[in-house]
Amino acid sequence: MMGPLVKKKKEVWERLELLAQGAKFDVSCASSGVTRNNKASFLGNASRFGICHTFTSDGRCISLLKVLLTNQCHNDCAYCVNKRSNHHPRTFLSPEELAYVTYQFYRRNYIEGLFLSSGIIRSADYTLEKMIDTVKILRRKYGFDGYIHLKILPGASEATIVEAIRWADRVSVNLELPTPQSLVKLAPEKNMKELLSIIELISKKIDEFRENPSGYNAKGGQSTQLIVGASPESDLIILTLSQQLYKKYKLKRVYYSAYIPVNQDSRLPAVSTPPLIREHRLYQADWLIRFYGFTVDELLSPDSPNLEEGYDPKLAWALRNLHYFPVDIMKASYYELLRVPGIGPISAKRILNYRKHTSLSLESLKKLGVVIKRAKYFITINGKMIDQKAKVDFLQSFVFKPQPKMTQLELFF
Amino acid sequence: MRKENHSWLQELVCRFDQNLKKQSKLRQDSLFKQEISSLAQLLANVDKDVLKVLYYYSLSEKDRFFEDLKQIVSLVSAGKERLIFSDPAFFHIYKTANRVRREIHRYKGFLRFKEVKGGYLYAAFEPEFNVIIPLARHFANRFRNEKIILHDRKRGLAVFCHKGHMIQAEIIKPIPQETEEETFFSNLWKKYFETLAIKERENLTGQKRNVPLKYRKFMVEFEP
Ligand code: SF4
Repeated sequence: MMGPLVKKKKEVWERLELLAQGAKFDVSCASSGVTRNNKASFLGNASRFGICHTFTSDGRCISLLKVLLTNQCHNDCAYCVNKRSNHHPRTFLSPEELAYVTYQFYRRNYIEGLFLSSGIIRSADYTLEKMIDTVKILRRKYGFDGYIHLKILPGASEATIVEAIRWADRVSVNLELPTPQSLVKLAPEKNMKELLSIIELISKKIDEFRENPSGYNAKGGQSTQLIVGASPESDLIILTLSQQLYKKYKLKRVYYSAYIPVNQDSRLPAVSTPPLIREHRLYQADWLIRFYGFTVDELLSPDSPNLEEGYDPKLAWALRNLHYFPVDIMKASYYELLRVPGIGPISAKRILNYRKHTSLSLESLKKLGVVIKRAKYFITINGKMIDQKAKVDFLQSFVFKPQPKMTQLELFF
Repeated sequence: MRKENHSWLQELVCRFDQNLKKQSKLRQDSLFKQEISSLAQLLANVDKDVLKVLYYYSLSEKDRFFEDLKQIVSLVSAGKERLIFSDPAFFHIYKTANRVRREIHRYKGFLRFKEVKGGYLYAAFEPEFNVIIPLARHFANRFRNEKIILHDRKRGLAVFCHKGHMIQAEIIKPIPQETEEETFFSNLWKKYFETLAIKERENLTGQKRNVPLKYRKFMVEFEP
């Protein structure tokens, strides 16, 4: 079949470019979290990382075709390129066109699936329905079983939101700002209470559909995104919100996006470079909360409400809690091991496994994936310190030496 | 004239089973299975993780594979299997196996298919290790209804997959021309890729670390 798209070559490209431009600042692109039988996804510890199909020149993993149905919008959110008061060309791709491009990209192995968002035209409900149409065409007409992430538009009806959940692998509503005040100021058409109630509805529906054999039912869960640095909130406020989102609404991921000034808008702070290190530290702290059993109160307090830039939050915690150390490798529990800088979930599990059968040495710890350079100050093996020089004062001089400025940022760990 | 393009597939040699012994390059995958069956009693009890490591290691085509395998088997028969992960001999096997596994994982994302005349999706690559079979398994499953060809140009190996089947093949004619849609969609992808970059966050070292140059040769978006 000679696709009708090919005839409109130039024009299709111009529209896709505009719609990709409008979507690219949304960072929640991970394709992970869903494993379907027919997809035979990678086994072992990599399964939850998903598959990257390429990396952009800013080092980000590209896994999904990330695009808008339309970049036209009747809202006017300060931080958004698509806001009503911006003057740039507006366009759209029809559900059929979008589905066809996605299918063609997928079968060439360019992408793992589709991430579809949109500006709001006519009404949120109307727009979300068009987005769902795209998904239905892909699933039914092209037999597409790949990954689909749908953005839920605030203001859509419950019935339409449920329909979106039924057809997508993951859904998300972006909170964007961590407090009602900032939201009112920067996104006047949105309000926190409404956004949270949608998140709650989604979390309820995903639970309800969990055992339902028909449909896709957003088995990959829901996620959200927060912009960092466009409003004055501290890391404490941001992470407290994230912790609540994970606990109460069982979100799979909260994404943090360093604010990049894309608009001239008097409501926004003047910044020259995006706060990338802060974003990186937030991801690390978020990781500690989800996988290491840390709580926000342990990492931050009203007296020091922001994460340190100079070193990672786990090391910072360890230094404030030296009384907790040293931890003995042969005796400590899983969660005690996890508190040691240089030991992560994988190496902690391996330690538990292997110490049952054999005594561990410095060498074997290395092989189990422990970062000795960091861990040696905090551990003993059968009561013995690894490095006799590793006294506390030495430790402090080591640690308080500011770390060299980071040049590489790991966005997806 | 174009007709012969349709028959080039028929000329792909589909003898995955009979030909294994002659086609020494594809050997280890099935040889490994044979070894497993002859060593069945011993290996039946071997931890699945260890087997998996040995499988990946076999794909590395290291000369020492059979010696190493024997050593592992002797460890297992001496009842020392639990100590394998702290055994120095196993450690180098484990490290190599991990490199193989990483290459497979990367190719799952980085392999690029081209639509060529006759309705085939064709992917060429030059992997460091002999990973064509696990990759074919992945893509045969993913693109069930497509007729796909994976072509390891370094080893001169090819596998054809369709409807969940995998068949060893031989490329004996030039690959047919790409279709018009192929030109269109690969260009569309290239341009899409270029717009994605956020210049405020440029990080070329990160990009190089994540997509090493050896993969880029076959990726449309990195073509000059
Ligand atoms: S509603 Fe969405 S697309 Fe519209 S201006 Fe706000 S953030 Fe942008």
